[in-house]
Amino acid sequence: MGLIDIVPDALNGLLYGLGINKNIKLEGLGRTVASFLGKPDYPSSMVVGITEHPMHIAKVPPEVYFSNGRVLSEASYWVYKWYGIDYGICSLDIYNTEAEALGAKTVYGKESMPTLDFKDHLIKKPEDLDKIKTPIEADWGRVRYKIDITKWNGKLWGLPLGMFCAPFSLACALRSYPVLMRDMRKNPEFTHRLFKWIVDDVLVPYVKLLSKETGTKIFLSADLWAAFPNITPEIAYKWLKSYNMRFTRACAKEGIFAFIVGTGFYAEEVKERFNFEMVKKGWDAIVDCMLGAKISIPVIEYGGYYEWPYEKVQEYALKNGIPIFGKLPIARGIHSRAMMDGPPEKIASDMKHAIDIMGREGRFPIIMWSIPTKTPPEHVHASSQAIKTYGKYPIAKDLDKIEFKMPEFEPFEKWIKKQDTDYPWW
Amino acid sequence: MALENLKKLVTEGEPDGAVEEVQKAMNDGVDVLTILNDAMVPGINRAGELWKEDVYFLPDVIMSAEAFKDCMSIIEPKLKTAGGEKIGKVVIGCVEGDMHDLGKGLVVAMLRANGFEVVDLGADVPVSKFVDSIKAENADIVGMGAYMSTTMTLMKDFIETFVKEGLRDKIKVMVGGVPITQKYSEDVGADAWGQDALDTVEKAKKLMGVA
Repeated sequence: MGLIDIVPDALNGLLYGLGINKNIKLEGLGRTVASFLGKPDYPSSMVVGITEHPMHIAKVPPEVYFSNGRVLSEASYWVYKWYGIDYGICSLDIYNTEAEALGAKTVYGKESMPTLDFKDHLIKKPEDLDKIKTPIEADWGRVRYKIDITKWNGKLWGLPLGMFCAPFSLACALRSYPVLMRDMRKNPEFTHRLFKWIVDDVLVPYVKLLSKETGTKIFLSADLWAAFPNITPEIAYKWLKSYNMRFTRACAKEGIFAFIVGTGFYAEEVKERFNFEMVKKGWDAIVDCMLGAKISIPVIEYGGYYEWPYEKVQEYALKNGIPIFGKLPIARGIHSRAMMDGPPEKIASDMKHAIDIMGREGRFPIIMWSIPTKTPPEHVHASSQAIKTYGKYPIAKDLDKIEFKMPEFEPFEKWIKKQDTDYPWW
Repeated sequence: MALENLKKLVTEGEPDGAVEEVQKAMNDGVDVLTILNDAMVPGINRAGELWKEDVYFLPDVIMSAEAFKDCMSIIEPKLKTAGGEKIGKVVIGCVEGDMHDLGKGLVVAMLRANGFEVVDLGADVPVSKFVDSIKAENADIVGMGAYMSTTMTLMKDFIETFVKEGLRDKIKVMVGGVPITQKYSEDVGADAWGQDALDTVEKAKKLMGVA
């Protein structure tokens, strides 16, 4: 089965986004693809990140949600559909699964996502590396759960997308971040051995395993351990670039497209420390560390817990665009804490401002990062509504003249009963 | 000169060298309070300043905190007998189900460097352990950290338990961690939100009426 056969929505989005066929009715993934490429009917919204919010909304018992891939996928899909979100990358525990499968101690909380025991790392001494058995097999740890999630996501969203932990983040999981920092400085020889092992013995075979089990050839990794200011620009270039590229090239040889997301993100949480020069360095590092070539990679506005200088983001995207497409895509992030705090009026007003400055030329998908568990649903509904209200192409000259109405919505329990699904799924 | 070198090694995050300097100073008869106040504390505080000035990144601060922590483990037994004025006593831990304690480690180091006595309960701490420790230590401040949006919700329950146990009026509550905001801190009934390690120190001082 070829890629195009399994993702017709994506093909529609491609044709629409490139301006080849504007008569297509965009749905879900199609709107997302069109949003990266051009001007759809309105910008797409995606959820990208680890989230337990659907568990809370769909009232799924935690022990089921954290062990049953189908239930996690169904809950995520239907809750995001209820919000009117176009596409969701619904994986859980991106950072811990591989480490746990390799033998890292994991703590299972009553209501929280399982997490590694950061006081008891698997690689305490360099010689521990030689004792770890590889490659990871499908029945180790929660790998089967992850395989199920990948399969179900593909079925529900139309794009089977595999997820894995990026090399640097996996090194942090196995060795701990502070110790890894010390290794880089004091024991570079071991650090190189660790990264080579992670890429060659762990991740490449693991991705091949997931690909074989799920049929997917597209993979996305998370690497927020490698966000600024967790790393320095020197670390990005000295340690991350070569091993990220070693990994993506090894995957490419197997016919697998693996993208590492998070390396070089600017994730400074404190407004007073915001530094746009570092943001730009991060964007450069993202391009360099992912592919080693300047191509049309989206500028990702992580969306700190404060407003970024949108004019500067827009200026960068325009300046670094490529001839055929124009500006670089700008993926506008909605920070988890902003989503949680609200109020809805502020979320809508921020969205209006962002669209006004950065959305007019198109190529403007919206990314909602992990939605915190108990975020009031009206905040997420307001966010979706604001995208549709202010983002309708062509964007109105004066967005202040457009009235924003808070959306009315049915309770999830009532809405889900009208959908074509057998809720509850457990 | 030795203390000046120790300060530099702590600022630059060189734990092995810093520990050697501490041992050398102790062998030379320098008292532990002088080692702490004239070298270690200015060393880690300088790292904090460089962080504020955007010169340092997190790895630099982490390494400095590691050096400070390793030095503390050597002088701490003698420090207890040496006495010294303390601003207040803090009981701190990551709430039950949460193992992410990197930020807490920094907070502990910075609080200790700034005159607080800190009882570190570690990660994955149930409310009963917080309650027992607050009572046993007669603490002034309790600090709770959470990194996940599932575990952060426990903060509210924990504070309610402090109320039921008759502790709430006797203790100041601080909360922190990646998903926490000022609004959330107010919603759960905490006294202050520590946005990062330096901010936590400043707010803890304010709560103790010394800032």
